[in-house]
Amino acid sequence: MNRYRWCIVALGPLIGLAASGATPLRAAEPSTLVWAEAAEPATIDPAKVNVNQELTVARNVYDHLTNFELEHPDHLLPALALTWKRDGTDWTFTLRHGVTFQHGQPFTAADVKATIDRDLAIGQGQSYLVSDIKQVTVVDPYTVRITTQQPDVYLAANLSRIEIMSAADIAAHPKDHGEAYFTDHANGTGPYSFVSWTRGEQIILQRNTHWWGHFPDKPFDRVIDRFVTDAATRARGLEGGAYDLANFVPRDEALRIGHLPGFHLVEGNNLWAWPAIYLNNTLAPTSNIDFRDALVKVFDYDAMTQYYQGSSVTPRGPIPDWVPGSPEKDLAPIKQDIAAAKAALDKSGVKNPVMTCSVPSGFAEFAFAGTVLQASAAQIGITVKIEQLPFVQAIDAIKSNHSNCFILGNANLSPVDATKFLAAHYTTGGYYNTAHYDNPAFDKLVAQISSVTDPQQRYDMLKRASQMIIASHSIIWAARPKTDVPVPNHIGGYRIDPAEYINVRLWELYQK
Amino acid sequence: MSGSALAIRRARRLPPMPPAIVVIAWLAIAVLLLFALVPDWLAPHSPIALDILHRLQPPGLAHPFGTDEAGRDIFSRVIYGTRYSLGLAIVIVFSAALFGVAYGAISGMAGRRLDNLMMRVVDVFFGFPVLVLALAVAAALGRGLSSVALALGVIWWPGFARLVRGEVQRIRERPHVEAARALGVRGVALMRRHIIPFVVQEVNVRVTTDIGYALVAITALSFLGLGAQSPTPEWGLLIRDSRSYFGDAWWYLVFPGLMVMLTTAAFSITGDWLARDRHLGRGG
Amino acid sequence: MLGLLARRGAWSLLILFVVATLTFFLSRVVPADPAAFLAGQNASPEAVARIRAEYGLDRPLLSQYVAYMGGLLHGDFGRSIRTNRPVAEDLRAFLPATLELLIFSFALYLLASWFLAILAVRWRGGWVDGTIRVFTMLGSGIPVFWLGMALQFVFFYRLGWLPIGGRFPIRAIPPPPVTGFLLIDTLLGGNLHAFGQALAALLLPAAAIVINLLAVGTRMSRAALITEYARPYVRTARGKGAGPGRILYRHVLRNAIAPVLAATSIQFGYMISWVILVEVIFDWPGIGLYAYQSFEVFDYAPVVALAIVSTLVFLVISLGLDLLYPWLDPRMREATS
Repeated sequence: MNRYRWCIVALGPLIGLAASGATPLRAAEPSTLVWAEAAEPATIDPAKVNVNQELTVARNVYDHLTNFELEHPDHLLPALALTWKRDGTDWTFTLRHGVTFQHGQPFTAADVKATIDRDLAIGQGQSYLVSDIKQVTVVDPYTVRITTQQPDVYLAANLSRIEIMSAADIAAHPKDHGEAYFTDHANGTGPYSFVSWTRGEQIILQRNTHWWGHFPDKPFDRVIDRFVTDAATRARGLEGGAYDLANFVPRDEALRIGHLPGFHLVEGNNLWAWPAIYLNNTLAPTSNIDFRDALVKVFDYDAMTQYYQGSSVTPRGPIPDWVPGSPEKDLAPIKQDIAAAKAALDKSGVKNPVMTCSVPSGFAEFAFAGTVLQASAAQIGITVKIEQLPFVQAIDAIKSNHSNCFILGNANLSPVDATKFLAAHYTTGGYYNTAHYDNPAFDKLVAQISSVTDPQQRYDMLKRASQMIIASHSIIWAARPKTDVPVPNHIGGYRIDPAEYINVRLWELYQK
Repeated sequence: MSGSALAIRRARRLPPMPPAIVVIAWLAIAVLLLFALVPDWLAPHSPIALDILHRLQPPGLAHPFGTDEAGRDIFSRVIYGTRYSLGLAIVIVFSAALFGVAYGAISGMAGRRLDNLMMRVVDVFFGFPVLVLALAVAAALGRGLSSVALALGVIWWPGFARLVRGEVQRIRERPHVEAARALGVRGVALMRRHIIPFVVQEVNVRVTTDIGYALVAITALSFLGLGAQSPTPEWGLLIRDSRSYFGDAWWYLVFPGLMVMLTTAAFSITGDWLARDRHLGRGG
Repeated sequence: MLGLLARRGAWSLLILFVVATLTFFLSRVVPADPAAFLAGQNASPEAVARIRAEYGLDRPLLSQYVAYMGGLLHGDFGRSIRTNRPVAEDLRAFLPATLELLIFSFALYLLASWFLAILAVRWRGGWVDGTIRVFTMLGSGIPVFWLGMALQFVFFYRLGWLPIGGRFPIRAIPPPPVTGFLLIDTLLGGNLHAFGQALAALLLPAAAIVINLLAVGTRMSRAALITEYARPYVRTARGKGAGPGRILYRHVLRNAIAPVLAATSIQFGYMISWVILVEVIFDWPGIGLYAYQSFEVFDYAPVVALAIVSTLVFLVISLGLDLLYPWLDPRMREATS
C-alpha cells in the first residue's frame, strides 16, 4: 500500500504546480492585445505582402502616402503626404515634415522613391495597384513627383496601400532586393514597431510612441499577433478570453459570440462577394455558355440569404453598391428561375451534365455554397462533385483545367479603384480569373477606365464592363454579406475597413 | 449459467454462451452492417437534402441526432456514412490480413536468410508513420478515400505478417507437424492442413479488433481533409465539418464521435471474447 | 552486443533510405506548382519563373532526388518554400516542442498504464477491474482528434481551467531558451510558476494522446499480467505462503515486462503518427503542425523531413526497447545471445 501512497505524494505537488500555472487569462497585462491570426505570414516584406496575415503586420508597422475615410473611401486623408495634385500623367505629392522611422532615420522623398522602385522591380504583392507608374522623381526632400504611363485618376487612392520603407534599409541590402532580409525584418514610420517573430507561434509588436499620428486614450502598448490556424480554436479562444480579437471567425460562431454578454458585434461592408462561384469557360461542360446560364439560374440564392440570416444581399454584378461609382443599382436583380434554367440546359445540348468543383477548405461559407450548388443543380439533373482542398491546391485545380468550378470570396484592396479588382478577376491572365474568361473587348475597356476624368463616363464604362461579365454567365454571385466581427466589450475603436479583409487597425483601438 | 446447463453444453461439445455484453456487441455490429448495406431502408431522411430553415437544430423527435448547417439530418448522414467509414475499414483490414497472412506464412516456413530478409522489409513499413505516408500518398494520388485505403493498407499488412510468422514458427516445431513432415507432407499442403488452421484463430482475433482501429485511422485522415470529400457523410468528415459550428451545435460533434467510439468498442469486445475463447480451448 | 548494434544500425540506415526515397518520389509524382504560391497573387509570370529557378523546381526529377539525398548526408533537408528557410533550421526550431510533448505523454502513459493494469489485476473481478475494463473497451475507439476537441471544450471552454492551446500562456514571457524543453528551461531559470504554466499547457494535448493509447495499452498489459498469473510458479509461490503483493511485485511484473514492452514500442509508433492531429488541434508549434501546414501549400520538403525524423525516432526507441528486454528478462537474454 505504501507504494500507492508514495505515488500520490509525488503527484500532489505536480498537480499543484499545474493548477498554479492555469493563469487567469487577462491577468496583469491589460495593455497587451492578443490578436489570433488565421495563418502565419510567409513574409512581412511590404513589397510582397498581399494576404490577410501579412497585411496585419505591414499595415500597422508602416505608413502610406495617403489614407481614406472608412465611411467615404473617396475622401482621401493626408498621411505621409499632406497634399497631392494631378496634372495629366504627373502626380505631385508634398510630404509631411518631422517623421522618423522606428530605427531613427528621418523620412524624406528619397524613401518614397526607393520603396516604389523596389516594389515595381520585384513585381509582387500589392504592386499591381500601382503598376502603371513609369517614374518616381525626387523634386526636393519633401516633394515627390510620380509619373504614370497613362493618366491615372486613382493613383493617390491606390497609394494608400503602398507601405513606405526606408531608403537606407533598401540600400543596405541590395542583393536580390534584400528579399531575404525584409522577409522577417521591418522598419517603418507607422504606429507599431516590429519586435520579434517566433516561428510557429507569434509576432510581437510594440507601440511606437514617436508616431506622428494620434493614438486614442489608453491605447494598447503591446500586441501579440498569434498564429492560430484552426478556425474552431480561434472562435473558442475568443469566446473564452484567450484571444482579445480573432480573424476569420466562422460566421455562425461570430454572430453567436457577438450576442453574448461581454461582447458586441461590429458590422461593416468590405466583401465584394462571399462567396462567388467561378465557372470554367475552357472545360466541358461549363465551357458551354448555355450550360453556365442554367447553373446561374438554378442556384438557390434564397438559401444563401437565409444562411446569412438576413444580413446579406444577392449581388447583381461584380461591384458592390457601397463602392463609390458603382453601377449596381442600375443592373437587373438576379433570382433563381428553375424553368428558365431547364430551358437553358436543354438549349445547351449537354448530354452528360457532370462537373467538378474545387472548393478552398477552411471557409464554412464556401463549403455551404458548394452544397447549395450541388442541391440546386441536382434539381435539373446536373451532378456537381465537390472537392475540398487547401486554397493553393483548389485554385491550382481550376487553373490547370482539372475542375469546372472554383469558389472564392474577395475584397478589393483599393478604396475606390474597381478596375484593379476587375483586372485581377476577369481580364485575361488575371490571377483570380479562374473562370478563364477571355474577352479582349473587356480587357481594353477596363484598361481605359482609370484614365477617364469624367465620373459619369467612368460610371457608364463600369456598367458596361459589369454587363459583359454578367452576360457571359461565368460567375454565380452567391452572396454579398455584411461582415460581422465579435469584439469584447473591453476593447473600443474597432472598425471595418471596406477595402480590406478582416483586419485590425491597431492605432485606433483602446482599452475601455 | 447453471452448473448443470454448463455441463450439458460441455458434454454436447457446444461452445459456452458468451456473456451479455458480447451479445450486445454482436447485435450492434449486425445493425451497423445493415446500415452499411441498406441505408435506404433504415435512414429516416435523405442524407443530402437541404433544409436551410431547420439548420443546426438540436436533437429531437424528428432528428434524433439533430441537423447540420444545411439542415440535413445527422442521424441519416451517420447511417449512410457507415459504408464509407466502417465498410472501408473492413475492406482494408481484410485485404491486409490476406496479404499479411500469406507473407507471414511464407516467411515463417522459410529458411533463416529468406525469413530475415522478409522481416526486414516488414520493419521498413513498421517504422513508417501512418500519417506522413498518408500525406505523401495524398500528394501523389490526390485526396479521397482511395488514397486513404492505399496508405492504410500498406501500413496494416506488416502487423499480420509479423503475427503470423511468429505463430507459424512456433507451430512448425510442434509434434503433429513433425509427424506430418515425416509422412511426406510438404510445402503448401503442410501449411494449409497442419499450420494455418492453428494460426487462423489468432488472425481472427486480430482482424476483429483491427477493424475498430482502422476505422479510427480512416476518420483521422478524413478529419485532416485527406480522405472523404464533401458531401460524402463519412464520420471523420462529419467531425471535421462540425468544428465550425461546435459552439452552436454540440450534437454535430458528439454523435459522429460516439458512433466511432461505440463501433470500435463493439469490435474490441468481440475480439476480446474470441481471444478468451481461444485460451479456454487450448488449455492455457 | 556490438555486433548486434552494428547490424541494427546498418538496417536502420537502409530503412531510412527507403523511407526518404519513397516519400520524396511520392511527393513529386504530381508536379504541383508551389512557385505560384510563393510569388503570391498578382505576381508577374517572370517573378514566378524566377522563383521556380531559385528553388530548383524546374530541374528534372532525378537530379532533384540526387541533390536531395546528397544534401541529407550533410544534414541538409532542403528548403521550405513556405517559411523561406532551410528545413533543418525549421526542424531545429520545432522539434523540441514535439519531443517534449511525446516524451511527456509517453512517460504519463507508462505510469498510468502500469498503474491501471496493476489495479485491475490486484482487484480482479471487482468493480475496479470492471470499470477499468469498460474504460479500455470504450477508450480504444475514441479518435484522438475528437478527444482533443472534447477536452478543449470541457476544460477550457466550460471550466476555464486549462489553456486552449499553445505551449505557454500567450501574455506571459517565456523562459530563456536553453534546451528548448519548456519544462526544463523553466526550472533552469528558477521560475516555478512558469514551470506550472508549461505543465498546464502540456496537460490537454498529452491527455488526448494518452487516454487513447492507455485504453489499448492497458488491455495488453492486463492480458499479459493475467497470463502470468495463470502460470504454475504463481501457484507455487502462493503455496509457499507469499502474499498477493509480494507475488505481484517480485514475480509477475518482472516476467510480464517483455510482452508489454513489445506492445509499447508499437504504441510509440502510433503516438508519433498521431502527434500531427494533436498539434493541429492544440496549435502546438511542433514538426507535425509544421509539416501539415507545408503540405497544404504544396511545400513537400518538410513532409519528407518529417517522415525521416519520425522513422528515425521510432527506430531509436525500438532499438532501445529491444536492448532493454534481455536486461529485464533473463529468459530473453538466453534467446538473443
